[in-house]
Amino acid sequence: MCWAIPGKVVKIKGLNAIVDIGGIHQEVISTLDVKPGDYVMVHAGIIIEKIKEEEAKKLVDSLIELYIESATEIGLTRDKAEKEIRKKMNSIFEK
Amino acid sequence: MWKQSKIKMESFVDFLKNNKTMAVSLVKLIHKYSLNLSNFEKIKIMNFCGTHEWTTVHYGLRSLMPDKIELVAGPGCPVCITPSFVIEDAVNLAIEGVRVYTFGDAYKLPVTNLKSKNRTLEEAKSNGGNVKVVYSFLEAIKDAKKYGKDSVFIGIGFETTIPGYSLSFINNLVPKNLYFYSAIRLTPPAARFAIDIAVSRGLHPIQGIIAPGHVSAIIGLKPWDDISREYKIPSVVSGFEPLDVLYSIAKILKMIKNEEYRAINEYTRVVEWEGNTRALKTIYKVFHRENSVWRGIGIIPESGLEFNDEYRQFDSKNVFHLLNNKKSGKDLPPGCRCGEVTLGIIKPVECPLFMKTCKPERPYGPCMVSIEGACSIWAKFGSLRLRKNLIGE
Ligand code: SF4
Repeated sequence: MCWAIPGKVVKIKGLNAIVDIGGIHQEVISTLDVKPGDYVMVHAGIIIEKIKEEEAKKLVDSLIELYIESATEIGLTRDKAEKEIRKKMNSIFEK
Repeated sequence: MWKQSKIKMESFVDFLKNNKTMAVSLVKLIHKYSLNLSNFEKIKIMNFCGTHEWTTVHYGLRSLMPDKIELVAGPGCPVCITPSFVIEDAVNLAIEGVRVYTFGDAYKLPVTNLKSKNRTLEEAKSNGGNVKVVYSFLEAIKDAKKYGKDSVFIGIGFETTIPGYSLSFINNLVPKNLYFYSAIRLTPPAARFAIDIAVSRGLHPIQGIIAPGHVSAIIGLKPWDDISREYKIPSVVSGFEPLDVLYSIAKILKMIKNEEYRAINEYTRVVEWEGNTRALKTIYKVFHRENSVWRGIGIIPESGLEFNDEYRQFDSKNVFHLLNNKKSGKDLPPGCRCGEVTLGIIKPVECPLFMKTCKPERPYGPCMVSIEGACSIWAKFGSLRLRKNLIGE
């Protein structure tokens, strides 16, 4: 019941918002101020939060740090480990 | 240069779901950190959300853990703990002709009495009851406006779901003919209850908390931080992809080692420290806390929400004189151990009825109904997909 799925706000309709969820437009109740283009998490017909892309970057950085920690254990240098994992992460960044 | 580029959200989530390299290194770290905890014979980490349990089982995360680490499912399924009397009331209303709206999750939720003619809302409907399954409260509101006659929405859910209710009332969206049956329950009081019961029953204590990401999107980190400090148990508010969960487990082990008893946020892309303050305000404008019954468990103090006076005209319990709601929580069908499963006292496979009398196609007890019920997750998704992928590495 606490499943939430990501969607993108298409337009605002009074107190509600129209959100694109996997190509389907759905009218939902918004619990916060959103505008078209915002990425949001939708649960049972309500927007519970916005998705903050900047914060996703922080998780990427923490994951890289943990990867380096784990890779240096097996003798990789920091630099090499970092290069390796960043290469794997290439696809998640816009060119 | 790398730091400036924008993240593509879909690809990022895909990475969190599928990246083997990262998963392997997190698993290795978890093994390393657990070796550092040599003074502990066993470490018990509890999740409080059915979706976390789903991730844990679906990706076979348990099988990737070092022997001493035990991942346990806690109270994280609102359908599982909805008292039998709620469904009994709903069934009676539907048979009397009142239109009853329910989420699909609760449609097949059985009442305790095995002899009752309509054990579920589904059966009530096939016997002529007025039942409608909806995806959201908003959908029920729209339908009830058209319908124009007495109808009741069965309001099941934890914190994630509540703002959809409270905002609808505050924004005057709810028509006068639509009443609301509050079966709302709150997660932190149940978390405390589960932590306490492990101690009082002399079980191994809970030493780490994977806190529910979407509940916390509403309530924030503070309730978990309070629990962490009070009980000296580290918490990580976590996202739901396998890498989110592995990362959170690694962090919990590090925090145990450093005796760091607080809540930290892994799911910052969605959750903020103070939660969704606007949503929270609306919740407590419409509802207040009361001691409430959890199915198979009993009364947990201040763990449910009921209407404030200002909104009582919407309360189905008043309007239809439903007096059932003060019964105790000894309301499981004979032999079903869903209450113990919910509190993390036993695993679903320890119930003698698991996959015998009780199966997802024909649930006997409430933990087998919803996709978030531990028994149903264990029954349906016992796959070890990630592990199989990892064995190659
Ligand atoms: S397997 Fe079925 S009967 Fe056993 S505890 Fe789970 S829900 Fe109850």
